[in-house]
Formats: sequence, C-alpha cells, structure tokens
Amino acid sequence: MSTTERVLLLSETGGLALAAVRSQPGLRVAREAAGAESRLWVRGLPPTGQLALAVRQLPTISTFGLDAEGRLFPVASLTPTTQLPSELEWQPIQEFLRLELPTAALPGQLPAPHPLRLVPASRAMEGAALLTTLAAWQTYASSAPEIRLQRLRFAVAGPERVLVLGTPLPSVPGQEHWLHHNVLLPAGLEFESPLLALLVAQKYNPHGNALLLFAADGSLERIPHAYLVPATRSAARLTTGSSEHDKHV
Amino acid sequence: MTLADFIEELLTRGDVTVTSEPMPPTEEAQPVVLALLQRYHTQDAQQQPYTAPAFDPDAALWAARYLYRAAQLAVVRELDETAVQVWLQDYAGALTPEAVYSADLTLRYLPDLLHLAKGLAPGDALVSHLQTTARQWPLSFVGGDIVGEVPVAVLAHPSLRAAYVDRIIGARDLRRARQPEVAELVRAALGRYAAELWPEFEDLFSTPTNATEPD
Repeated sequence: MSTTERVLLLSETGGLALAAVRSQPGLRVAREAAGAESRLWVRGLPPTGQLALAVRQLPTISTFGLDAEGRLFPVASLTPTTQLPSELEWQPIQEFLRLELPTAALPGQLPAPHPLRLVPASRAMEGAALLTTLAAWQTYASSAPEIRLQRLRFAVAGPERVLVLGTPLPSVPGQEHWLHHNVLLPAGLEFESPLLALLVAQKYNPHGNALLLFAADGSLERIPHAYLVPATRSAARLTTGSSEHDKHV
Repeated sequence: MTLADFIEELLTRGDVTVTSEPMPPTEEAQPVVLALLQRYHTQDAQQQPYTAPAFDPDAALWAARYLYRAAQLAVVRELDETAVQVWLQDYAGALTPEAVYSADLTLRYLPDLLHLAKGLAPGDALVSHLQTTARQWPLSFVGGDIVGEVPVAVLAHPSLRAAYVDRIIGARDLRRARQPEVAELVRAALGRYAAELWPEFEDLFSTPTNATEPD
C-alpha cells in the first residue's frame, strides 16, 4: 500500500467545524449526496506525519489514506474498504466556505451633531461682499462712477436682499461680509474653529461653484456663482427681484 | 444705402458702408432714422448715470447726418475742401443737455473717424473740421488729443457730468483730468481708491512739481 494523501469524511453538520481549518493551505472540500443527508470530503492532507491540531480536532466520521487509484484505507489498515467517489466536485476550502460580514447585533452610535456657531472675530478682515436692499443698490448703481461698478457683481433674492460682491464695496447701508473658502461670514464674526470654513465648504459646496452666505445666527444660503451678474447701471435698473437660490438653516 | 441703413449698421454691427455720391434727401428718411435713434436713446439711457437728458430729435438727426457725411469725406478722397464746408454744417440749435446727449449717440463714434482721417491725410480740411467739432462737443471726444475749454454746459447737468467723468477715467484721459474743475470731479469719483483705480491720476497730484520750501 502506498497512500498519497489523507482524506477526511465529515457529516454535513460537522462541516461547520471546517471554519477552524480554513486557513490551512491546500485543503479542498467536496460535498457528496448520501440519501437524505450529505457528507463532506476533505483532502489535501499529507499521507504521513502528525496533522495540525485544528485538523485533528475536526469531528470526522472517518479518516482514510488515499492511494493513486482512489482507494481508501482506514488508518493503520492495509486493506482498502471503499473507493473515493469519482463524481465529487472539489473546491478550495476558501471558496467552499466564503466569508460574510456579520450582522451587527446593535446599531452604532452616531456622534451628536455639532452646531455651527459664529463667535466674535479675533481680527478684522477686509470686506468682500455686502448684503443690502434692492432700492439701496439701485440708487447707488444709478449714481456711482462706472469704474466702481466695473469691479462689482451682484445677485438678487428679492426686494430686501441683494448681495453685492467685489472691492471696493459700495458705501451703502447693509451687512458686510468677508470671504473665506467661498464662505461669506458677517463682518466681525468667524467660526469657532478656522477649520470649520473648509469643512462647511466641502459639505455644502463640494464643487466650488457657489458661495455660502452665512447669517449671524448660523443659517446659510447657497448662492451659485452663475447667479452673480456684472454690475451695470442697466442691470441694476432692470432688476425686479426674484428668489431662486437654496436656503439651509 | 440710406441714412437709416447706415445707422442700423453702425448700432448693430459696428461697421458702416458709405457711397461716393451725396445722399439724396429722400434717402435721409427722417421718420425711420429718428425712430432708430430714439430707440437707441432709450436703451443707452439705461446705462447712463442719474437720469439721462431727454431725446432731442433735431440734434440726434443732425449728428447722424454729420457722421455719415464725415465718413463719406474720409474715404472719398476726391471730395475737396469746399465739399467739407458744404456737407459738414455746424449744429444750428442751442447746446442744451438734451442736444448734447442726443447728438452724442452718434458723435461718440467720431473720434475713431478722426483718427482714421488723420492717418490718411493729417493736413486735410476734413481733419481740421473734425477737430473744430471736437472742441464744440467735448463729451463725445473724451480720450482724443483735442482738449478745449472746460465744458461748462456738460458739467452743469448731473448725468452728463457723471458720464463725462466716467469717460475720462475709462479712457485714462489725463489731459482732461488735469483741468482743475474736472480734477475735483475725478477725485471725488475715485474717492480714497484713486491709487488703486487710476494710479497715474493719483501720481499727478501727489507729486509736488513747483513746491517751494519755506525758510
């Protein structure tokens, strides 16, 4: 007798224990239908020598030596007792036992949302935008020198809300804002942490195609750059007011 | 080619076509030309500071004819000095704000024509005549090298005054900006941003030229 490898036979339920040897190299598994139940064959073990502890601990029905002709020899027996079924479809044990992510037993806990708060600024920043009224803006545009208008753009959200952008800003009543990462913050205020401007810009303006206008109470409006038009006298005069941009509170 | 065609081309395409022969009065179809000019006045007034002066049909029509004939004289070189005197009549009406602004709708294109005419023949009678016209209509000739007296009539009207200053700043016309009455207006328009908006103007008045040191 000359066996080439050892073969294990397990019941279907015993096959659950195969997870413990899934990392053993070279093991292959096949399922054999046997009446109402099925059995599992495991091969790829060396013909002699002590097997790994995890293999020895498997709940096997039988352990055989396999020769080149497919005959199965019980341990310490010189006579084969059966033949390894030839129709078995062998799979590497890693494919036979596929990994699955476990279902979480308990839901994870989300961190509590951090409210955006504006605090008094530690330093004065140059104004970049002015929130004013349409009437004030139209009066200014009608009389302002053209060279001042050429440096401005504006967007209108209604009779009471006109955003004028550029420098120098017009000298008209309104709320001045300063610009940081496409975020417009009221003059004299800033985020609690300077990093928040970047995070807010990434969250609400990922493509950088808009301005985020913050109010002192932390609410914000998203104003696409496309809504800003060059400041000309005719553009200001012919504006009647509209409201199309997104508002987040 | 009619005067209406000429104005239409000028205002919509920016280039013009002229014929070599004098335009018959029938082709200067006034109602059509006036309708074009009045429509342009309405559009242009939206862009003017304050409230632009009202439309003056006589001045607007005179200026349109003047521009057409000046363009003819510039390209038809066989027309002599007599033709210049006959074709280019001065405006006979009063230079009211309405007349100044209405004439400016087309006279504002004359500086380019003057530049062209000077390039063709600097000593031409047409050039001389256009230079005289430039002194009479200063609002329309900002940026050119003909600087006349301070245009009191222009400065007296809020819209024309602001437009005049706008044009001086836009053309960076230091010759006009250095006139004392005008300099004050330019300084007011630039405010405290003069060094940023027009550094040359700021330098003009910040560099002492004839200051004398006290003992």
